[in-house]
Amino acid sequence: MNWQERIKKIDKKRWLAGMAAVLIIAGALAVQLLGNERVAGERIQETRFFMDTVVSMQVLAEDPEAKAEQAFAAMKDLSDRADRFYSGSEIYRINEKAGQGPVEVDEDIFAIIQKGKEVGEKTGGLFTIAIAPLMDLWGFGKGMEPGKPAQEDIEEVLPLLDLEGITLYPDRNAVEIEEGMQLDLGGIAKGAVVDRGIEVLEELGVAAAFINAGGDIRVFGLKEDGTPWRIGVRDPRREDRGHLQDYVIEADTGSVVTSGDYERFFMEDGERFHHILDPRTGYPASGLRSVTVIGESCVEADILSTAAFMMGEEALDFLENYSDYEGLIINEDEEILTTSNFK
Amino acid sequence: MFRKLLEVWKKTRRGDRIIIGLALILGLAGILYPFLWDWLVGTPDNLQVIIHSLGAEKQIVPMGSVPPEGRELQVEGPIGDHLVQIEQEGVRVIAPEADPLKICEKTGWIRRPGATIVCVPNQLAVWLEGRDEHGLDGISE
Amino acid sequence: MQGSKNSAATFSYQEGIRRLVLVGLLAAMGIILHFIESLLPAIAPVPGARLGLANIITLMALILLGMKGGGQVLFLRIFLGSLLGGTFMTLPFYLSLTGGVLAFFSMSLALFLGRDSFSLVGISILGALTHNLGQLIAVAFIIGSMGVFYYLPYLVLLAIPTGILVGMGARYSLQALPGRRT
Repeated sequence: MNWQERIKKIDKKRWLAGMAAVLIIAGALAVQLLGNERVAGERIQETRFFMDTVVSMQVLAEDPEAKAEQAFAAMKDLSDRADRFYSGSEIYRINEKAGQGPVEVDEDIFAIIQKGKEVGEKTGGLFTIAIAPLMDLWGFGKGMEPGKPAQEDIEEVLPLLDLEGITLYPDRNAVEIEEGMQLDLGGIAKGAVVDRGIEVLEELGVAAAFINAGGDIRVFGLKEDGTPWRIGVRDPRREDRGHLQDYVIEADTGSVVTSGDYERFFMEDGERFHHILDPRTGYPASGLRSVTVIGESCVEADILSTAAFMMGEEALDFLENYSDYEGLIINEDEEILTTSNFK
Repeated sequence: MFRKLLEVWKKTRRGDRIIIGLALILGLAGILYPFLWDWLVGTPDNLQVIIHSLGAEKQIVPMGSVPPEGRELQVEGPIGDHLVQIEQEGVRVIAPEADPLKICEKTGWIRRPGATIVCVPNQLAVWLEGRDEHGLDGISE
Repeated sequence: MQGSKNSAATFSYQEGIRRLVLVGLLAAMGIILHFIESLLPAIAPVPGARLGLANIITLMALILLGMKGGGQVLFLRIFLGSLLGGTFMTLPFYLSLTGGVLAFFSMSLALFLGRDSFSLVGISILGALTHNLGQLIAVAFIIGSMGVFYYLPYLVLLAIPTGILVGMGARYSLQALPGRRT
C-alpha cells in the first residue's frame, strides 16, 4: 500500500474537520495580530454642557475616559476665563478697567485677544472682539431679552467697536481698552477652546480625536478602522437641521467651522434678526445664509467664517486670500458657492 | 354587557365584519409599528424637539442641548400661553387655563421619534424627530 | 326609499311637508346631540377622539330621506349648530365640516351600494372611521404639521366601539319610529 492509498483510507470527514480547525485558529490569530496593529485602545464619546452649548468629544486611545476628562477640564477652564459674563474671568477684569490703563492677563487669553485683533484688522474691522456693546444693545448677551434697538443707540455704540481702541503690551501680556469699550470673545472663544482640547489630547498621545463644540469641529487621526472622520455641513435651507448631502468632508486633521443665520435669532414684526452683527452698520449681516471654513486652526476658521459672513458674495474673494483655508458659502438665493481650492 | 355585544356581533353581516377586522388590524399594526421599528433598528440618540405654533417660525431644540435640569419654553397661542417642558427623557406640554379639554396636557410625556402633542384650540404642535446624520461623526453649523 | 317614489311626475304636497318637517327635526336633534357631546369629558387624550353622537342623525337622515335629504340635514346641522354655538368659521366648525362630509359620503356609498352586506353597525363604524380621518386631515392643514397622523391608528381603533354605539343608537331610534322598520 503506497502513501496515496494510505491517505485515501483516512476518514475524509476527519481530514476536513482537522483542516477547518487549523484554518480557524490561524485566521483568529491573524485577526488578533492585524487588529492589534491598527487599534490602539478604544474609542469613546463623551458630552459636556458648557459655553452655552453642547460639547462632544470622541477619543481613540488607551484609557480614553481619563484623557477625555483632562481635555474637558482644560477646555472648561479656558472657556471660563474667556467668558465676559463670569466675574472671575480675565475678560471681565479687562472690561471693568476700560479706560483705566492696562490689565495683565494669562498668556493663553492674551494670545486669543492678540489673534482676534490681528486677524480682525486683516478683515478691515469686519470681525471685532470689541463687539460687546452692540451685542448687549441687541440683547444677545447671556440672560438678556433680545429686541431691536433704536437707530440712535446703534449709532452711539458703533465707534466703540473699533479695534484701534485696543492696545496690546506683548512684553507683559497686558491689554488696555478705551473707555466705554467692552471685549466679547464669544465669536472666537469656541474655536480657541476646541483648539485647546485638541492640543491637550495630542500631548496625551491619543491616536485620534474629534471635538464638536456647538458645530465648531476639529479632528485629528484616523478612526480604529483606518477611516477618516466624516463631517457634514448644516444645510440652512432645510428646516430639520439636516446637512448638505453632496458636501461631506472627510478629514484626518483640521477644523470645520460654520457661521449661519439660524444659530440664534429673534422675530420682531414678522422680521427675523440673527446674532451675527455687522460692526459697520450695527445690524445683523445680510446677503448670506451661511459660511463654512475648513482649515487647520479652529480659532482662525472661526474668525474667517464670521468675517466672511458680513461680506455677502465678496466673501468668496476674501476667502481666496487665505490659501490654507477652503470656503463654502450659501447665499440668499440659496446657491452653494465654493472657493477654487475646495476639494 | 358581554351578552349584548355577542348579540350585536351575531347581527353583523359580512361587510361589517370586514370593516371591523380591517380597522382592528390596521389600528393595531399602526400602533405596534413604531415599537417594532425601535426594537429592530433602535431609537436615534440625536432626537430633536420641533415646536410649531401657527404664525410663528418653527423652533427646533435638539434634545442633546438640553441641560440636565431640563428646559422650559413659553409658547404663545390665541387662547393663552403653553409651557413646553423638555427634559432629557422626553417632552410634555402644560396647557393654558383657558383650554377646555387640555388634550395636549393629557397626552403626557412623549419620548419617541414621530410622537406628537397637538393642541387644536391653540394651534400648537410639538413633535420629536431624529436628526439625519447617518454615517457622520458630526455636523458643522 | 319613500321619497324617491313620489318624484317629479307625481309630486305630492303632503310628502313635501313631511320631508320639510323631518329635515328640520333631524337637524335640530343633531345640534342638540352635538351640544350634549361637547359637555361630556374627552374620551381619550387624543385630538379628534369623540363619541360622534351626531352621526346617529346623519345615519337616520340618510335612511329616511336619502342622499339629498341627508345632505340637507348635515349642512343645516353643521352651519346652524356652529352659528348658534358661536364657532362659525372657526376651528371646531372646519373640523365638523370635513369630518361630517367625509363620513356622509362614505356612509351613503355603503348604504346605497352595499346595503346587503352591511348592517347599521358596520356603516356607522365606517362613518366614524372616515369622520376621524377627515378631522385629522383638517387638523393637519390648520396646524401645518403631518405629525397629527401619529394618532391615526388610535382613532382607527376607537372608531370600532364608538361606531357600534352609534349604529345601535340609530337602529333603536329607527325602530322606535311609528310604521317603520329597518
